[in-house]
Amino acid sequence: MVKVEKITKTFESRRKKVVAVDSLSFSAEPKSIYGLLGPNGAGKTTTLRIISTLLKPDSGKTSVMGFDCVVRPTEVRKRIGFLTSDMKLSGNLTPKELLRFYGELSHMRDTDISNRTKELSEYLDMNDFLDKRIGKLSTGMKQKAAIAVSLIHDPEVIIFDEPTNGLDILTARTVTDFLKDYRDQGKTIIISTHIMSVAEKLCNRVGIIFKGRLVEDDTLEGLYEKFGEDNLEDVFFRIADREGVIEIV
Amino acid sequence: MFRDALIIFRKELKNIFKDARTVFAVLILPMLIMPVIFLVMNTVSTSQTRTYENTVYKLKIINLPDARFLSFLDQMFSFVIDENLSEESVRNQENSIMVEFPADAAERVRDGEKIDARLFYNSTSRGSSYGAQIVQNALSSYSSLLLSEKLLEHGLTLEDLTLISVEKRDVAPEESRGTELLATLIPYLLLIYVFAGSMNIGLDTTAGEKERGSMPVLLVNQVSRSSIAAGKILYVMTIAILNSIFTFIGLMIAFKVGGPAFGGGELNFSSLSATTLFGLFITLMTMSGLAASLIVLLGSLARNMKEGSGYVMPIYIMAIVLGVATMQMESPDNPLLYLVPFINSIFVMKDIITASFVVSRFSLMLASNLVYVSLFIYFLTRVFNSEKIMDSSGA
Ligand SMILES: Nc1ncnc2c1ncn2[C@@H]1O[C@H](COP(=O)(O)OP(=O)(O)O)[C@@H](O)[C@H]1O
Ligand SMILES: [Mg+2]
Repeated sequence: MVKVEKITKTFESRRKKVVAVDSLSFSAEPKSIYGLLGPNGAGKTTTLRIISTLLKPDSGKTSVMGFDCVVRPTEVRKRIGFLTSDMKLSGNLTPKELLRFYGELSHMRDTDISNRTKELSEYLDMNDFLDKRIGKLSTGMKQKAAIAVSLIHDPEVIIFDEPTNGLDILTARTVTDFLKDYRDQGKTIIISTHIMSVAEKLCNRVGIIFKGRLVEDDTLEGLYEKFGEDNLEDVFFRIADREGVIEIV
Repeated sequence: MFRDALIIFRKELKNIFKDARTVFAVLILPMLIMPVIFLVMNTVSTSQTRTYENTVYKLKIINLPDARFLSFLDQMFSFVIDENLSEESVRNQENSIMVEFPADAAERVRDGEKIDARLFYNSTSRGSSYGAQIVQNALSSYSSLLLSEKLLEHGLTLEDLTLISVEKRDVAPEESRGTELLATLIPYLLLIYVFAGSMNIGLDTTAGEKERGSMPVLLVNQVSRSSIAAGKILYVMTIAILNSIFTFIGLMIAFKVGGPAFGGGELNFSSLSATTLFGLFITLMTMSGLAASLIVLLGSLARNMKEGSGYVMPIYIMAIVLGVATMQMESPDNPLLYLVPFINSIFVMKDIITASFVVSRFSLMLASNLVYVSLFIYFLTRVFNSEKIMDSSGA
């Protein structure tokens, strides 16, 4: 369970002042995937980073499983798995060694790390490359390793920024399959995306975000019904039109 | 907290030492580079000398006064007499030399009068220069011979002309003798290597991690930001220290293999006692700590590797300039200079190597460096705790 209440975040850089997130609220439930959908620069990454305790909001409140993200960041970090498709795992360690490292950082016991590694490598089909250097793996293998790393401490909440960005079709499929499966295990999942089809295929609930403001927040069916359309793309352009946003995607 | 820092430290070390190229660059290369340079220079210079020794020079002697001069030449090098030589051909040919005595040279020798000889050689030809040197030596031997004959007529020998004989005695303490060259070289090399060794690694673990997008994943872990910062500094410091220790070992090997040709005779490595080495090591530690924490701090402020190098480069260059500028300098007395980062370590190392250790200077250096390192670490944790650590952009 993740609650976001009226968060605002402003960046000030050299004369310019950007309101990246503007009084934004939503909540994400267990056993569901919440999708933040919006064009580039809308404020999706900033929102996810605030939930992940990487950034502090100027105002507003965020909580994960009842723990305030600003007041109890450590408790929040114990309960989330954070992933971004920008992340490039590299170096000479193997996925197994990396999993051990992140497990140790989560203060897991040795045996727990070993068991969890076995579990995840079965689950993500990583046995073939568990002992190969990460730098030498294919993009798909690296992505699986990155997912495993973020799941090592068995978090209740998964936050995934642009999950399929830059991935080939096969790898993207692995990622979406994993997200669906994890949702069905009862976890709370929040993703961001600027791709309609991803949101359409994956999300139970979609928040549409323009210029830092959440302008719609509903289930897919709710949105279709409200706008009298049968696909997300048409819904999206109707909303863009209404909001006076022309220069999108 | 320290446990978490160690986890990060261990992981970074493991990652780097699994890469053969890095192991080579950090440990093997610094150990090899000085010996190889010395060896090559040594070989080149001895083989050149050998070439000249095997050369048969062309020589023309005008108005030879005395066959004894020829026998001096015969003892010193091999040559053939070439009557066709001229000033022109000495200029144009390798290994040609011409000696001109005045027309009345033979009479002057007999009468014991002064002779003005002329030696023609080409200073732009190494062979000609080398040969000319030998001919000059032969001339002065011949001159001594003539002089002693002249003295004998007056019942004197050459030794009688020496009224004062000198015996030099070096009163420098045994352990500081022959350490000047070490004192100029070692601090400078160590400074350079400390920087060179920690620069890439320090930037990669900060700015590089931002660039690769793996920083957020590290930061959303439950370990404190201070632990992450501490782990990274510890890691870069270790590499910097390893690097300079291996450079030091390499330097020792270098003087062993190529010492003699490079004033190695003046060098006195046995003078580096255990205490000296320990003092050097402590100084090296603080200097490495300073460089490492500075580089990690700058790297964490940069958004990518390129920007990071842009921050560190000017400091690196300044350190090299400082190193060169202070190379020939003796440690000054002004205590303020022992508060200046990097310079203070250089001077203290010089003191230690020349066995003129000054406790107050060492303490000032140690204290001020510790203050700087603490400041850098403090600012680094500030950066890691701030949102600045999230600023990134691909190269
Ligand atoms: N660290 C930062 N400094 C200044 N501006 C930023 C920073 N991060 C994001 N922004 C700005 O905030 C806005 C929202 O960015 P972001 O959350 O990354 O959008 P999205 O993920 O939806 O593409 C953009 O205008 C972006 O330029
Ligand atoms: Mg984004």
